[in-house]
Amino acid sequence: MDFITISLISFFAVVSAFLPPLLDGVERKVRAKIQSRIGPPTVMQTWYDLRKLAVKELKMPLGGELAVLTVFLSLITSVSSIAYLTYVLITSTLNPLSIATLIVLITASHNLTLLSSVSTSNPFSIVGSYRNVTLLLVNEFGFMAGFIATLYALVRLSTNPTPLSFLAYALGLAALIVSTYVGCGRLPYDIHEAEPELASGALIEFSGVALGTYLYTHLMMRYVFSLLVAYAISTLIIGFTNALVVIAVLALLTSIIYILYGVVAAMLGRTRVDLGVRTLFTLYVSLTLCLVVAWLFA
Amino acid sequence: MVSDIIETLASVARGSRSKSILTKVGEVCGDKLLKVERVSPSTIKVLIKADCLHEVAEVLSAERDVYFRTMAASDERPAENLFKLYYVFGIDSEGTNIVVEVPTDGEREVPSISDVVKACDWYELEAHDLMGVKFSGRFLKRLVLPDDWPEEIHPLRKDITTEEIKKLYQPQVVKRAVELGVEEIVKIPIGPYHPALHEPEYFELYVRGEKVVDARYVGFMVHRGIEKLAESMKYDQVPFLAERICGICGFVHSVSYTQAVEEALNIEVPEKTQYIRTIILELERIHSHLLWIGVALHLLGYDTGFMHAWRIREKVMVLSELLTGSRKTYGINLVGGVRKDINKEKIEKTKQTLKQVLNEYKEFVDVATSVPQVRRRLSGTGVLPGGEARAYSLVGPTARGSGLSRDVRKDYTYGAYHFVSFSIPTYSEGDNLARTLVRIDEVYESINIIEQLLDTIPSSSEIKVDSWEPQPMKLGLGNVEAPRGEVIHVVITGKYGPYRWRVRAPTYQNLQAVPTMLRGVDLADAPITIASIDPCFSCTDRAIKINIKTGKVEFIPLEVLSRGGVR
Repeated sequence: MDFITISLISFFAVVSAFLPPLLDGVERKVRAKIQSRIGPPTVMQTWYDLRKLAVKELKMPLGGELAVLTVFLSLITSVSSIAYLTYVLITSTLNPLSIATLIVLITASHNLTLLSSVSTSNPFSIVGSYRNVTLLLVNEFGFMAGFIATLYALVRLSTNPTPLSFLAYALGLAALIVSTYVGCGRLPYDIHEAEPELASGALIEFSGVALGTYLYTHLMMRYVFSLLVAYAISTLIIGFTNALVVIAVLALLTSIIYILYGVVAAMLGRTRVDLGVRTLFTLYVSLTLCLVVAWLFA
Repeated sequence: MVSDIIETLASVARGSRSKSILTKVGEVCGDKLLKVERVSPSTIKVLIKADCLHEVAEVLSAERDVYFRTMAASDERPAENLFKLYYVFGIDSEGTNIVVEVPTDGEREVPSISDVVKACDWYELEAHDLMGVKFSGRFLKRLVLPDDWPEEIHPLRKDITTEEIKKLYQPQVVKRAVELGVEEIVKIPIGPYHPALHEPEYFELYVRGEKVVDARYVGFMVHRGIEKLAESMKYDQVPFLAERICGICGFVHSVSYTQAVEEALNIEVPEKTQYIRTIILELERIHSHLLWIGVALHLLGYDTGFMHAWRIREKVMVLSELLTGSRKTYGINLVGGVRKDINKEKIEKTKQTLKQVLNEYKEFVDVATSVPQVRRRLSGTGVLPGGEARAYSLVGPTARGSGLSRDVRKDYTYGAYHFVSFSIPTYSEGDNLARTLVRIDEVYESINIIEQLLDTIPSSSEIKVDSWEPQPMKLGLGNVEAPRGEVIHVVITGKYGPYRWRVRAPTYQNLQAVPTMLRGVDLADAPITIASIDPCFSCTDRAIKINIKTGKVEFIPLEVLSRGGVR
């Protein structure tokens, strides 16, 4: 790996670390517009919130040392997943091993964030975490199926672009979009922190820097999920070879997808854990069956 | 003797239904029925001995069109050396109230009727707490008073003044503070709260997994003693106090109170006053329903709907300000009239605004009710069958969502409602969706009612009676169909102000059915189910700061607390 590549990866990793709270600020402004509100004073508001949380007192929840530890572990894995994903995209080293590593890093980061609340004694955070674990059991299946199927279809399309290969790609992309949307924890799937019944659920015991880290990690994961979808779309449409252009296009597309997810969330209400699981299960099984049929015929 | 009384009963009856029901009452009471009289065109008072109260309750509760409306306990020892209980039953089909008056000396037990009239459960507990009336055949426990309240003090008795109560009772927080060895302690009475409505209420949900298997309610966290306070006020001061019972629909209380006094003292109110009161009542219903719809959507996670409901509501608030001078707590009501007229200019402006509200509301409701999560989570959840609704004597949209077309605007008409044509939206499913749709439809009806009233409002400038004379110990009932259901006030008149004033808000009646609605719902749907009765706990959140050294008590608004805290 030459110096330029390393510099580009580092640059994109830094941008990726900075962008999620900024995009959240933009999303808050857009959502406010949809809801006839003014919204936060500036798009930097989320950054200001995080900065404030970082200097606030950390109130350790009862038996929550493990919870705080998992939050920081989750931050490490999410930063690693962004750095590794950048490396894979820029160097075009997508192979079964790198895909497996990516999935492990992303899901580990995601699950650690959610599991962090189980170790506290607060019933609201426990209920919230278990709700999300239940949802994840279904969604991780959809995510893996969607991610692998999309990548496989992209490879097939580059060598043998038939209508059925394109159909397989579309189905895989649909599963990937749904699963990444659910993974972002946006409405209707924010049931782990449903304020009316759980009073912020999984987040209730966190304060100060732990809460700030939790929220930052959560935003990073949203960015990673949006980036995966951006990659799956941009690779099909434009076959760039220049790494700088790839980075610019990916950053732009990721930002658009991030905001679009936010706009969709503003149009919906919150689901119930049983309804959410049933809907996702039906959707993923149907998509997977269609995918298998498309592959068989392709 | 008995036949004479039955004959009298028949003569005071308003129609065939009241005649038949009163005859049955006379038969079961025999010579224990002491007196019967018509106290107003729509109210008949029956004086009976406590021994036959249970039998009378059985007779009345067996009638399908009769329901228990309220009960007031009154300390009438200064005049007659007796306590009196006034049970108010309504005959919906005829718009007649039957007030069953039961005297007791305070020592002998009065038979409980809560086994046959479920809705009477809290009323008996409250009469026991506040007036010291003893009931037999039931378990008595504290309902309104705090656990550490002294046993022998019943605050609504006439021999105890408000000042004495303040001296006699100090909350346990003082004792606790001494135990803790701290100089100052802060008590914020929002302790048992519910995250859904941010009011001092407490529901204990027993869940298996995420299914609610049972529920318990503990309320009366902030009992303000408003009824006692009114006993030391003049007639025309009370409407302003009454309006402060509720921060959302306070006008219904001031109208209820003034109507009760006007009925007791036979005051003829000018027609234009009735129009103005009715217009404001309906405006209040619109803004209250929009507020509720917004909160309900927020509970379902659809915050965009919440924001737009409140955006539309804002126009109604501005309209209220135009007509009354205030966005809320209008302060225009007096016994015998109102203080603000509605002129032509205001009529035109109101019509224009209502047209805008109607258009925006239609658009908003179409979108909000088609959001999949909203629809799915409201359908089939929090079900309350019609039979249960009847047994609990439920009122308002809660009753109408379970198929009971009970609405005092039609059943016990008042104000200017008899000048307009409108329908009562009713749904039989009994679930959260049914209660939501009732409220959604009622907004359309309210706009329609206001438009009709504005078209026909009298042009005269007479909006209040010149003078009226109070007469002591007259009974009056005032009812208003509030956004949450029927509000009913019982007033026994005094020399300068009410001798006894009993307020019954709709939530008091509806709350008792909430545990039934909650059984079997998912935890996620518990907040919307509780909110589906549109509960109003009529509270004012304040913090009490007590300095142990000086014994000084200060009340600090939460807003101040949130700014800087209290040391």
